[in-house]
Amino acid sequence: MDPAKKYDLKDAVDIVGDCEDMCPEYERHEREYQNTLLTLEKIPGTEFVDHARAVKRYKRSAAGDEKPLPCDLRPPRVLQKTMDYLIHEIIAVHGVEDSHSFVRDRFRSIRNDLTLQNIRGEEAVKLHEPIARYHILCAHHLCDVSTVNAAQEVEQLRKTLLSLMEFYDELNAANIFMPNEAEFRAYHVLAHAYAHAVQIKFEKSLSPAVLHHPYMQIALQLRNYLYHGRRPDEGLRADGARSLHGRLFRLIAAPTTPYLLACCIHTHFVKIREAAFEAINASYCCGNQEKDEVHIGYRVYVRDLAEMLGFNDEDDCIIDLQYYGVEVRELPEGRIAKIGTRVGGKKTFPLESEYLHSWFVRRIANP
Amino acid sequence: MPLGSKNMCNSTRHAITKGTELPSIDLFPIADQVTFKYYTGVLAFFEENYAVAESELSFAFDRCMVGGADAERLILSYLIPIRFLKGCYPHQDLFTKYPAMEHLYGDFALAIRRGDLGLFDRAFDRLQRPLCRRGTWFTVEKAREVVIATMMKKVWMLENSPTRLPLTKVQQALRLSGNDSDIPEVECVVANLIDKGFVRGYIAHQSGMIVLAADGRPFVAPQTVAAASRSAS
Repeated sequence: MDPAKKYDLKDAVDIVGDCEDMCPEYERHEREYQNTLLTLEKIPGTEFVDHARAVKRYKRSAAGDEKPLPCDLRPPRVLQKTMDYLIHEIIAVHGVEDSHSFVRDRFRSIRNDLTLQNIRGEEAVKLHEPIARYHILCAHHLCDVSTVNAAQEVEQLRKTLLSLMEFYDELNAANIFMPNEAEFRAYHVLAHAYAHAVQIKFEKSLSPAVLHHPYMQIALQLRNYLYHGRRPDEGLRADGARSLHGRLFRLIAAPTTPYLLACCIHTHFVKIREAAFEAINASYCCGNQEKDEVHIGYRVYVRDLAEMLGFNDEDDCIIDLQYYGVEVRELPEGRIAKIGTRVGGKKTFPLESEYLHSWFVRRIANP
Repeated sequence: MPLGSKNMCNSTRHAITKGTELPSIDLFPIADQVTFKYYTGVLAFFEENYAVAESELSFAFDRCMVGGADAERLILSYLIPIRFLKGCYPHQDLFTKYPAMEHLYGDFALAIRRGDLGLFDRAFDRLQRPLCRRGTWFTVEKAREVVIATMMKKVWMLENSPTRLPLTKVQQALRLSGNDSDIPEVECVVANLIDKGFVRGYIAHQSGMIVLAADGRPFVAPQTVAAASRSAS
């Protein structure tokens, strides 16, 4: 082929990697020299690279970069080996939290290698699926770790899922059906639970087998509770969405709901609760505002709210209530929330809020 | 649309409706107008812009004549669920004329008329696949609330229209319809109805009572609710 000549895009030849190690040889020496090796990649007690444990890092493609050489790209077989290593010898040994930044970056590099080689078939699916699961787990499990940004985790999750959806579509067109398709399409529904366009498009494209899969049915039920009865003309504004929160949190905590599906919806908790508080605020009466005494029939106990909205405990609920400017009062019978008067303008919680997390781990991880 | 890329439609639509170079769409042959209105209506439907969708699709339905039944069925499959959201359902004559529509939406129409939540839920599960194929399953779900509001109104009337309705009464109705719910869940349902304006009143949480507007009209017609929320937004 003459590199100076123009060729048709369909005649393009995919580059095929032949790197047999988890990290290309050049990068190992380069990073040893640059001193950018991580502890997990060094020979313990030294600054030298451990050639068996270094893993190729993710590098954003930038203008001026040379085209990657085959010796710098790993074929699917090696990528699988890399992934097994990361899961069994890094995550399993060092824990999800401590290994997070390392594993996250190296998983990304696995996806990148696949993209560069234009591998989109079954092998790509098998490599993407665990990565998606990993991001779902981290978005939930590490959301109160200060070094982890849950929003970024969700971003990677969405990218991974998007690739997966494309792979499934292409495979389905060739009459190949992957065993876990329903599971990941279910995650996709929930990851984009507030994107109406995604929901509709997706609904139309489901094959009956995927649609009737128990995973998918639970995901759709969660989504329907989430969306329950939005105002007919609310348009695309997601934060106005009302949910059937009373049922939603029950279903999330139900033993029949798979753990990762529950993790997936956890990223929407802020919105769900905000909408729930609004609905409660509009419909509950907290008595005469002039008098200080709240009539006993109108009392809203914080413990009831905490139970209804799936909070860890009363204190967690109070943090949220105070955020919205709801007054909490101590009474001998328990703490009550003066909810039922209009609170000021809408505010949103930062996603990485600590208190969003703990209830979940307790309820879901140790049912 | 065959490309499945709805996001590309907007710029085209914009060029047609907002562009100055082209004559107004009203000046084109009616057949083209109908086709255009149908597609803009469907687009608006998928964008949850139901007011626009309704007017565009109604236009198309009223003036569509050439293709006859097929085209009308297509339009109706979107138009009927939009009307559901306002608590409107088609007359039996329409269903008799289009049996396919009756198969899809007949039970929902009946459920909305009667406030029969059980019927609605059963139809919703049974018709999941065909509705999904048309992309309307999700929209039909939103009409569930209208059914609950009607159901609650019936409970209220059976109780001789009191101003204070115990939550347990609504709970019983929900149970009869196959939705076994405890009181917090019932409260949540009622709170949503009040918040959205279907019911005028408030919940006295601790005494488990719904206190309804005393002027004898605590229930607001879904159509009014839809119109009110439209003008608010």
